[in-house]
Amino acid sequence: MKTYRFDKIIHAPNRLQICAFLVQLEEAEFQLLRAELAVSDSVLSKHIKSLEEAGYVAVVKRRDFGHRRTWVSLTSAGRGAYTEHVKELKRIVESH
Amino acid sequence: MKNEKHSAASSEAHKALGTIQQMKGAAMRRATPPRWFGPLIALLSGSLVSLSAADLRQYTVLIILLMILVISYQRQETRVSTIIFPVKTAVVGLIILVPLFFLLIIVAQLLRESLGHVSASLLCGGIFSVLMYLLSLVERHWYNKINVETV
Repeated sequence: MKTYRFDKIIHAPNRLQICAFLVQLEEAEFQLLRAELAVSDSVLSKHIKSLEEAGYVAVVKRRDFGHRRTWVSLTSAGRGAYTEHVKELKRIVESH
Repeated sequence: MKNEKHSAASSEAHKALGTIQQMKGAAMRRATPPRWFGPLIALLSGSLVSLSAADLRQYTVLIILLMILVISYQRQETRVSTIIFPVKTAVVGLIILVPLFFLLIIVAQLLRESLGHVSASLLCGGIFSVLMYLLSLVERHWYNKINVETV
């Protein structure tokens, strides 16, 4: 049976939530992600930093309509790793 | 012992997959454009056709600026931007819409004689508006479908 790459960086619950939220989007705003995950700014920043260091997400700060906002998006490496990880999770569930 | 370990891994993976579905659903709910967005963009696109057909091209810049403003505002409101349509669908959509836009301008100019300057421009602009509105309904249906699938 074919196995896929289980990604320890993505598998942490909050990081998995971040990737699952971003996968169908081009980008999402930091505060929106924080509200969806129901975590503090610092916790979200920590997780995003881990994903950014792995090259899985990109962070951009922009001024929109007078507000300075931080936008987060999945990189192509992040999409690839996330897809592999989800396939591996499905394989684990199906093999049992 | 090995079985217990497998069972725990499977249960954890199952839980993780559940979380993924939940977050994908949340993302799609957030990404769904507000109800006013489709009709407004349809109206502005129709105005673009009408103004071009009526030889009032100097005002089209204003409509384009307004469209950019509306799209930017909508993005600020939803605080997400989507890649919901596959690239192929978007390209096919553009291949159909862009020639149709110019075709309607030409048709409006041809109909000037029989319908009058204003009526011909308004008619063709109206047709383009209706088409754009129908497209926005298709888009909304697409979002709703994904919402149902992911919940």
